[in-house]
Amino acid sequence: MWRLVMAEVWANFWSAPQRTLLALFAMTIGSGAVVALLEVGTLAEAESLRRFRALGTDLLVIQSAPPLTGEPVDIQLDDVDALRGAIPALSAVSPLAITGGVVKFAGTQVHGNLVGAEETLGNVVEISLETGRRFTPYDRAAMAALLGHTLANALSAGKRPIQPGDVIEVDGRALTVYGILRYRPTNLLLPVDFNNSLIAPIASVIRVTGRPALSAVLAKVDAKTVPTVASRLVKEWFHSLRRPKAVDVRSADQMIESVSEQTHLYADMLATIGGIALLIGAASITNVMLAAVSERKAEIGIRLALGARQIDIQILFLAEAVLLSIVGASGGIASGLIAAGVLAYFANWAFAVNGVSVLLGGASGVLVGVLAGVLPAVRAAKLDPIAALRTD
Amino acid sequence: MIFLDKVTKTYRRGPDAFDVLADVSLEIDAGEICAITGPSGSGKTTLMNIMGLLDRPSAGRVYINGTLAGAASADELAALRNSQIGFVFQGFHLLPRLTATENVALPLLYRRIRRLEAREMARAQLRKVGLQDRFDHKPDQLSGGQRQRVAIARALVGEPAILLADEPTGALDAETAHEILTLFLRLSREAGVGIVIVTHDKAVADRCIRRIEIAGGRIFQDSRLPASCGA
Repeated sequence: MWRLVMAEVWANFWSAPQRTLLALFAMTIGSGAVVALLEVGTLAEAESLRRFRALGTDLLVIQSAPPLTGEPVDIQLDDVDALRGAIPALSAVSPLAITGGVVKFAGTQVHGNLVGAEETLGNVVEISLETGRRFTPYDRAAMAALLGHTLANALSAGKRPIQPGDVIEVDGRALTVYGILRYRPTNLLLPVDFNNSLIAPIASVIRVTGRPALSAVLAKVDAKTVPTVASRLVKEWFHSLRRPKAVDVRSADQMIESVSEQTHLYADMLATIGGIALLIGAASITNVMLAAVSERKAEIGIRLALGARQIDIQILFLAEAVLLSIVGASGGIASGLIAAGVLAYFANWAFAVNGVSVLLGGASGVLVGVLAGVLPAVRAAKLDPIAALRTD
Repeated sequence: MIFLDKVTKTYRRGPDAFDVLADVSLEIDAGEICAITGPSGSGKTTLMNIMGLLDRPSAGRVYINGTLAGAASADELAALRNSQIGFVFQGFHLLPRLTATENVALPLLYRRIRRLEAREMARAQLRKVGLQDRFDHKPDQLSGGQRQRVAIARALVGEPAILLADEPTGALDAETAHEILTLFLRLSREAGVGIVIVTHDKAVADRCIRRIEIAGGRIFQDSRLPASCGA
C-alpha cells in the first residue's frame, strides 16, 4: 500500500510540474527564511556577546546615584581611599573626575574631555602609550597631561605634531605633556572616551574645576569573585558610611545581560519574519493541493466507487503534502544556511551551523507543510462520489 | 442478491420537489443479466447509483446480499461497495498513471490485501479477460476495447455479488461492443455474478435475458426472455 501511494504521489508530482515546482520553491523560501533568520539571530547574539566580553567582565563602574529627594551626595577622594582595602574582592580602585575643557597648543584649540585620574588608573583599565611615560605616584600634584589618541591628532593639526615635553594650555593653566595614548576601542561601560580626553592628575583637575566631587570610581574585581556580588558589596559599603551614599554600580555582566535580552528580541523578531514567509509557503502548498484535488475529482470518484475509505483518500493527498514539504524544507535548510553563511562572511562574523535553527527550521517547515495538506486532503475525502464521477 | 424496496429519490429545487425515482421495487438475483433501458432523464442513472451504494434513497430500503445499506456511514458504504459491487463505466475510468495490473489491484488494496498477493490476483483476472500480455501497459497504451476489459477485470477481481455497468459499450465501435458484451455474458455465467447494464443500445438490451424499462422514475416494463435466448 505505502509503496503504491508513494509511487502514485511521485507520478502526480510531475503531472503538473510547474505548479509543483512553484510550491516547492515557496516552501524552500519559507523554511529557508526560518533557518536563515534563526541562524542570523544566533550569530548576531554570539557576536555581540563576544564584543561585550572583550570589554572586560571584571570592571565595575561606581557612580553616585541621584537620590529621589534632596541634594545628591557626591563620592569624594576620601571615599576612594577608604574603599581601598575595605572590600578584599576589589583588587584595584581608581577615581575619575571628568569635565570638559578647551585645550590649546601652538595656536590650535580643541574641545575635549578633561579627565582627572590617578596613576592607579592603569591597574583598572589597560592604558598603553604610543609615546612618553605614565604617571607615577610622585606626579599626583604635577601639572602634567596624557593625551588621548584623537585629541593628540587634533592638536597636531597646527604647526607640528605634538609630542611629550610640549606644554599645552587648559583653561588658562599650563600642563606639560607626559605621553600620548594609543587608540583604544570604545568601551561603552566607561563614562568617558579616553581617545578624546586629556588625562591629568586628579588633584590638578579638581584645582581647575574647583569641585571636589568625583564623576566615577573604577574598580577591578579579583578573579575569585562574581562581578554582581562585588557590586552588591560596593553598594552596601557606601550605604554603611557614616553619611550613607547611594551609588549605581555597572558591570559588563549587567550590560551583557541587557544586550543579550535585546539581541534575543531581535532574533525572535527575525524568526517571526521567517515564520511569516513559511506561512506563505504553506499557503501555496494548500493552493497546489486544492488545485490537484479539483483536477483529480474524477480519479477520487473512481477510487471511492472502488471502495476507498475516506482515510485512503486523505493518505493519498497528505502523502503528497508530506513529500512536498520534506523536499521543500530540505532545500530550505540548505539555502538558509548558505544565506546566513554569506551574511556572516560579509559582516565578518564567526559562522557556525546552529543545530537548533536547522532542526527548528526543518521541523517547522515539515509540520506547517503537512498542516497545509490537511484541508485539501479532508476536502478530497469528503467528495461525493457521484459528483466526482460526473466531472469529465 | 440486490433488493430495492419502494425506493424513492426526491430532488428539491427551491420550493419544487420532484421524484427522479418513485416507489421503485426491484430484485436482481445471482447470475441474472439485466438491462435497464429508458430515455434520458428517466432516472436510470439514479437507479444505478442507488443500487451501487453511491447515492442514498430519499425513502425506501436497499439490501445487498441481505444487508440493509440504509444507515451505513460513508466508510461502511465504501467497504460494502468494495466487497459486493463491481463498477464498469462508459468512459472506462481507469487511473491513467497506473498500469493495467495496478488498476485491477486497486480494489484489493482498499480491502487491505497485501501488494504482492493483490498483484497476482489482478494478473489472474487480467488473464481471464484475455489481457495476459498487457499487464504493465498504462491505459493510454491500450485500445478502447482493451481498456474496457481492464475495467471489467477491475470490477470482477474482488468477486462482487453484482456488477453494475453504465453504458459499457457506449464508447466502443459495434464490433468491439459485441466482443465486450460476449465477455460479460461469459464471465457472469462463470462467476455467477449478477450483471446490471444501463444502456441506450437496443442491440445490447436484446442480448440480456431480463429487460427493465423505466420512464418517469417508475418501472414501466420488466420482462424476461426464456433462458435459452441469452448469449
